[in-house]
Amino acid sequence: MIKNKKFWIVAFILPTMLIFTVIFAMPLLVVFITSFCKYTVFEQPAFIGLGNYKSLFINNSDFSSAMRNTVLWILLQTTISVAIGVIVALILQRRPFGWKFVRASYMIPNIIPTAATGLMFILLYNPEFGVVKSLYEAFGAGESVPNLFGNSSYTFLTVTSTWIFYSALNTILILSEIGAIPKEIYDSAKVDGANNLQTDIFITLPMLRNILATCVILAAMNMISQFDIIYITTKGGPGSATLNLPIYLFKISNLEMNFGLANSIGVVQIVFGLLLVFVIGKVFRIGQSNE
Amino acid sequence: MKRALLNILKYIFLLLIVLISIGPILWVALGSFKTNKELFSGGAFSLPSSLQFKNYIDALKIAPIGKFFCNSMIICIGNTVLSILIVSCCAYVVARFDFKFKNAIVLIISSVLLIPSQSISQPIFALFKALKLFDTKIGLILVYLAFSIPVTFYIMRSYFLSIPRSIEESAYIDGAGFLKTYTRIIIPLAKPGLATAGIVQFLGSWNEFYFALVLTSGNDARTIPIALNYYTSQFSSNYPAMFSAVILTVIPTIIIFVLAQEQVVESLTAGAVKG
Repeated sequence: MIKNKKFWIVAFILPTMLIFTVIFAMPLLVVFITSFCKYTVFEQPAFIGLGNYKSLFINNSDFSSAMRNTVLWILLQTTISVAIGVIVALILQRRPFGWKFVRASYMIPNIIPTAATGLMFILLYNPEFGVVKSLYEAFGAGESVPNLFGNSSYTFLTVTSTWIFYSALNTILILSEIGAIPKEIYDSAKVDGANNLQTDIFITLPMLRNILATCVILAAMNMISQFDIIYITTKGGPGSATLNLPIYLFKISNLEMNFGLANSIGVVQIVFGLLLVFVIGKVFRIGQSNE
Repeated sequence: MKRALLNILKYIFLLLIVLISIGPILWVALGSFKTNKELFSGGAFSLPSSLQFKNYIDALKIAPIGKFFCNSMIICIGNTVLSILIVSCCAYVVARFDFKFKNAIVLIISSVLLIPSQSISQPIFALFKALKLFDTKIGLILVYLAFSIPVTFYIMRSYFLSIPRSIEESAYIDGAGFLKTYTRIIIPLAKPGLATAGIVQFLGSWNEFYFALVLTSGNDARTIPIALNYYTSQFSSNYPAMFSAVILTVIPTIIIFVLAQEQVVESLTAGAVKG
């Protein structure tokens, strides 16, 4: 009963697919192909087999630091950050006094531009006028205020502190999932005399398995492409203390202009991400029902 | 007794969460009114002596924030409008009709989510150089549009699925054509979904940093987050101006959040649950 149905279906899909193909699929293909090529700003791509990958994985201290830091950040983010988000959600779901205010406040760091967050922490941690200085003075150690972004032994932790606590996305995801749990389940727990903590651990958490998997995947993917704050604050330094895959890729691609090598890092980044999603999905038995 | 202690701990924890969330921004906002002297000698928790806007004027002089602000507005509105216009059409036919390759299209669209943006930036850079789209607002709009496809698609598809089929069927019986039914009946009904998708895309492109950094070179297309980069590189000596620059950048996003808090929460939830 619809005239020209086929025509309209094609016409409605085509623009999206066109943009997808030109800006996404084609570049993706090029990344894979040129990752096997010698290809710099001066040279056209020429096939060299696994050359780029060899120079990444054999005796490349920058790449191994980038890889190590990326893995560390993924581990920290998928555990500590997700856990903080879960705890806040479990507290807020009982709607304690001021819960809406807490939720709104907690969201704000997730709403503002990440570049602004980076600059904000540069100011906050500034050894000459930042909050760190006043805290050190308060404890009588005013002479030895550290430059938190400038010391290779702890800058990694300083950078981590700019994002690991801000887990509001996980909190709102879990809150909306908790809202969907049927209330009857809690009634019977109450009858059995379970207290709040027991209910949270033995009833609510197991019901949240699928959304927890989503949170862990989001946290991992977020860390695989984490760039903005590191770029603004340390650019991967000092040395390679805060170098990760995206920052290393940026340096090779935009400063050294070695496109072939940069694209092989891109392939590593993509494959690593897919692998993580697959593994996390398996661990959480994603999509399967609860027993 | 134990219960009361747990309660106190709970509130201390929540207080800490609030403190680390809005404390830094409030501190920067206060700092943006301090003079250079007050900043360096007053201690971090001192109050500015007066509400002076010199730092804001300085901030505007150091980087062309006004210009970047306009660029950001044009790019974000362009991307948001195009994204909901183009991708909704695709989401609509996928939600409503059965056809060959339908599942393949859904799969293809989901794949965008799994690719870190940096990994394919070099070919996009090369492509844009060749097409003369490098360092243009249109270029950034197109890239943001491509990366916006999955989220807008998922939000709109689930919204279209919630609209009963009978509404369109009666329109067709009344003799309305396909396009008319879509634009006159479906789109008005889908407004809340469009708003949700719009908010996600606007905030996302307002905050985007990486492509804005690698796909621009001059002031014609640079966006607000890139302006912040100016303060950490060439002109890092003017700290009071850095304070005001941060505030100028975060204000639009906070205004959106305050005006449409429930919708932002809903948008981010919908935008995240896709994989």
